[in-house]
Order: sequence, then structure tokens, then C-alpha cells
Amino acid sequence: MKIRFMKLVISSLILLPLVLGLSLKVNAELTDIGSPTPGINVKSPDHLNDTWKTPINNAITAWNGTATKVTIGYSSASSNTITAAQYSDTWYGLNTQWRSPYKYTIQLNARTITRDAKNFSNFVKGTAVHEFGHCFFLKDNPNTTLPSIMKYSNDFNTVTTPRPYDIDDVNSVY
Amino acid sequence: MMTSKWISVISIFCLTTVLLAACGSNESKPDNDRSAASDVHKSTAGKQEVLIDASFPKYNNLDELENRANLIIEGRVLSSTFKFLNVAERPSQPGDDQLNPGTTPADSPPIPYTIYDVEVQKVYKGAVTEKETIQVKQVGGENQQTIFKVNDTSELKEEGDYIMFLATFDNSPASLLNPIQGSYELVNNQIIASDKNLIKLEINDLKQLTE
Repeated sequence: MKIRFMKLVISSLILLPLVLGLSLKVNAELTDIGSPTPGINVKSPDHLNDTWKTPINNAITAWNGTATKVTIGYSSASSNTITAAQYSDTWYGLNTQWRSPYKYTIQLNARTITRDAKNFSNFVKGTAVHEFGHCFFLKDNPNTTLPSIMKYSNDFNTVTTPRPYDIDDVNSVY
Repeated sequence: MMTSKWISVISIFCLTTVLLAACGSNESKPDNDRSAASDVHKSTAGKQEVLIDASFPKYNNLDELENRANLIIEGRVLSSTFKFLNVAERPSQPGDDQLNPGTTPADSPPIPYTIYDVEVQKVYKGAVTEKETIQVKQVGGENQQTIFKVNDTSELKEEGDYIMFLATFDNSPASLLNPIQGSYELVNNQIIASDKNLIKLEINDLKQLTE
């Protein structure tokens, strides 16, 4: 009896790390500021022309179509904004997030995006998907060999949607 | 006796694994409760924290850096100031919907910048002269109320010497091509790249620019 009990204990102790190892499959690298809720709103970018508005809409649709709880909606009452302009700087996109009360502003740089895009619509969409990713705690350039919309090495001409790695990270938060 | 010894070894191993896993899983999740608090979060310095994530072009080699920069200098950082800047430009080429999304500078929120006064020590490319002081801006910084923290950046330090790969603008201070690859620290005549910068730079590489 005693031997059987000991065998049971040993088996459980050996199996437990294996189970934990599976649950640690996602090694999320996350920022420390992001939306406290999976659903976020943003003011509709009606001030932008359709050349910009359409791929931004597509970026929002891309996030809303993921197997996560996150959603992005348009609301005229939202204090969150996304905009684009020709900025005198070298970045493609900027996401500024205030911790509390939470709010964010995304700015897309027409100067650098227009210069480097071979597929303009894809580039805007990919940049916007990347910037919205920061709202869900996703960090730039995660240390992984797996594809991620957050990586610096991405070519936004072709990479435009959240990848499984990103989805796993978002699901680790919400 | 042997059996009990092995049981002890395996149990200690498993217990250690469980404890390590518990510590690791706590570190990987963000502090959602703190983000969800309705009262204002203050850092230990009593300032509000704002997080900025910026995505930049990435360069594959030195040639790309050199070709993209319109100013390459060795410079000494003399001082810095914090300022909000509206760096949105007036629309150019009005018929180009890609270059002109439809906004005016007044539509764009100002961006927090640290602006550095840099004394030019050597010029490798561009139209500035030695001993001239130019301004270089970087997103982020702090004022009395707020810390604007930028993820994944390398800040210039006052009294530091750097090789800088810069883009210049008509109505705005120059900017590094990106915060990781756009500057190299110069210490005792050694050029030091930041940890995340895989592009090596030697003095001879720069000399070739001026030949």
C-alpha cells in the first residue's frame, strides 16, 4: 500500500513539470502599459482621405478577426485617436499610451511610409496593426524565431496581420 | 535505501521546477490591476508615466545607413532640453493622397522630445562645419509632471561623443535614422555600437566617406 502510494506521488511529481512546461509554451514579452480591457475604442479617422482610412480600417478588421478577446471599435466619444501626417522625423509609427486613465494616440508618418512602401495599402495596414498591438501589451521585436507582427525585421509590404505568436501573447494577457 | 535516495532527488528537482515556473509566470504578465486603477499612477519620483513605442526603418548594413543619412558627423552632446514639438508639416504636393493624408499641422497632437545641442567635431557627410552646434531630437524625455518613456531606445548622454547618422529637415531639428543604429558611442577613440546594433563601424569606414 505504502509502495503504491509512493509510486503515485513520484509519478505526479514527475508529470507536474511536464504539465507546467506546456503551460509555459508562451513566453510573452510584454510592455507594462496597455489597455486594461480587451475591448478598445478609437475615434474614427474621418479626417483622413480614403487612401489612408481604408488600410487603417483593414488593420482594425485584422485584429477583430483574431482568435482573441480583443476588439477595436470606432466611437466618436473616444479619447483615443489614430492619425497620419507628414512628420519631420524618421519613424514609421508612434503609439503613445497613458497609464491611468488609460488612453492612447497612434500617429503614422506619411513621409517615411510613402518613401519605403512598395505596396502602400499593405504598408499602412501592417504599420497600424503593429501599433495597435502595443495597446494589447505587445512589445517591439520579441526574442523569438517565430513570425510576429511586432518584429523590426518585418517588411510591412507583405506582413500585415497578427501572427499566431502575437495571438498567443495577447491571449496570455486577456 | 537507494530507492528513497532517488525519491528525494526527484522530489527536490520537481519542487525546484515548480518554484521556478511560478516565479517565471508571474513576471511574464503585465500588472493589469495597476493599469486599471482609476486614480493616477505615480512613479517613485511622483511623476506620471507615459509609454511611447516607436517603429523605425531597420538597416541591414553600413551602406544602407550611409546612403539614407543626409548628415553623418562625429558630435559631442553639450546639453539637452525637453520640449513638445508639432513636427507635422504643411501638406506638400497636394494631389498626392499618400503623402498628404488630409491633415494639417493643427490636427496633429504635439510629440514629447528631448532636443540635444550637439557640437560638430568632424563631418563625414553633409553641409555643416566643424565646431558648428546643431540640434538633434529624440522622442521621449521628462518634464516636471511626466516621464515619457520610450521602449527599446538608446538615449544620447550629455558630454558623450557619438558618430551620428542623421536625417535633416527644413523646419525641425535633425533625427537619428533610428535610436539603435543611428548612433555609435565614441570612447577613447573606440567606436562602440549599442548591444542591439549588429552593424559594425570602424574609423576607416568613415574615412572612406570623405575620400
